[in-house]
Amino acid sequence: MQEESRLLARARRGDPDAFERLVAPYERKIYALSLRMMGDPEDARDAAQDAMLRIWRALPDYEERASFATWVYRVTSSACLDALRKRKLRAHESLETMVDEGFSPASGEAGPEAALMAQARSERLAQGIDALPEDLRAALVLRDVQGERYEDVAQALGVSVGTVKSRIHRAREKLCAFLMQSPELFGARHVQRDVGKEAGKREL
Amino acid sequence: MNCETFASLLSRLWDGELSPGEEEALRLHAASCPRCAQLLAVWEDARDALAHLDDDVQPPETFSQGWRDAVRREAFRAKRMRRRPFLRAVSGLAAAIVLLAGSTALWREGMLPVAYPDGVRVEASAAPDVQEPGLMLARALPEMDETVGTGGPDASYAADEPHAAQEAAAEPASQQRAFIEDFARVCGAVLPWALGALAAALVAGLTARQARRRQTRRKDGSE
Repeated sequence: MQEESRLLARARRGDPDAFERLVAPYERKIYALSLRMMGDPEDARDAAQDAMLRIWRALPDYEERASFATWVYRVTSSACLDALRKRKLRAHESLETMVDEGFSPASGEAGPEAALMAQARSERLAQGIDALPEDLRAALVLRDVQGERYEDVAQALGVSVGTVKSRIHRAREKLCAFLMQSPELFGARHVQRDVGKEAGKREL
Repeated sequence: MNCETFASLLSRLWDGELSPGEEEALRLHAASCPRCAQLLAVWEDARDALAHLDDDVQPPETFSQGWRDAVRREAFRAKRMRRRPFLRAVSGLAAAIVLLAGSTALWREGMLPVAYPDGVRVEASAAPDVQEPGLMLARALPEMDETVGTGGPDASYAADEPHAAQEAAAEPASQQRAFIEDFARVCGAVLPWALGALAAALVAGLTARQARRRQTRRKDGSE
């Protein structure tokens, strides 16, 4: 923390080397957050780069009331939301529409290998996240993907903890309703495990 | 427990906020309700999958290098601007002097008196509009005829010859002095406007800067 304070002071005075060392630990998370928010690697790169420049320019105004990490997430979320608003040409269906239209995973794979299964699950998950409304998406990604505390998510998004909890609950509901359309990818092993448990209990 | 209550507890289960009793009741319900069991399975799967979704994400090199280069460019520009205020001030002053001198020269085009060998001098219009040399000569012609008519052409030419020679010799120095006087007049006329414009630009710049800072503070989390 002392090292971070020292680097912050130097970066505020316009030292780009100090700034690089200050934000390097957050680089991967900034990009990952942008990737989940934007849903596209090219757009994510542009949004993340914009976020980095905003962090650099806004350093003199950082008042240290929130942790530096929380403040970085706030700037990144803000940059991504601005980019999403500008990206008006991109049409994406809502999760409800996708579920109503009976969206189902690509068929034809008889028995995918574990790696293919993992990739398919990740892709399905990414689709589900991408189809969430922006405000719900930001809250879900910060909390359930990045692992931030509710209080930090609230500060990063500039809303109350209660609002964050409500958004995350709605985001989880929508996402899981979407994932239930892919029973071979989500929920299957738990159902099998529960069925096994029940069978064991009956035997006892 | 009914299915509605079951669904309302799933988020708290996800966050590990259920008491042991609440969790047991939730799982007991799932054991007797296939739909809720499926729902529970999907929620738990999603929780585990989301927690590891970005484990293998690595930022591309284009991003890593891109933001570093952009920050360095901005830092270099800002440093250069901070270090040369004196040079900028001198450059600005030099540009202002050149502009005023040029304006003076153009303005004098309209005020320059025309001298003729016979001593007749014609003043251009007092307005700062530029007068065509040909137009000035045309205006002088009637006055030239009147002057010549009185004492005969040869006599008047002879009487004014040394005076004209003296005038010709003194011309460069007097022209220089006249230029400096006119330059001072132009400066005096333009300076209040220039100072006013500079003050307005400074106020506008400061106001815009304050507004940008307030917007950045609101947007990027400074409270």
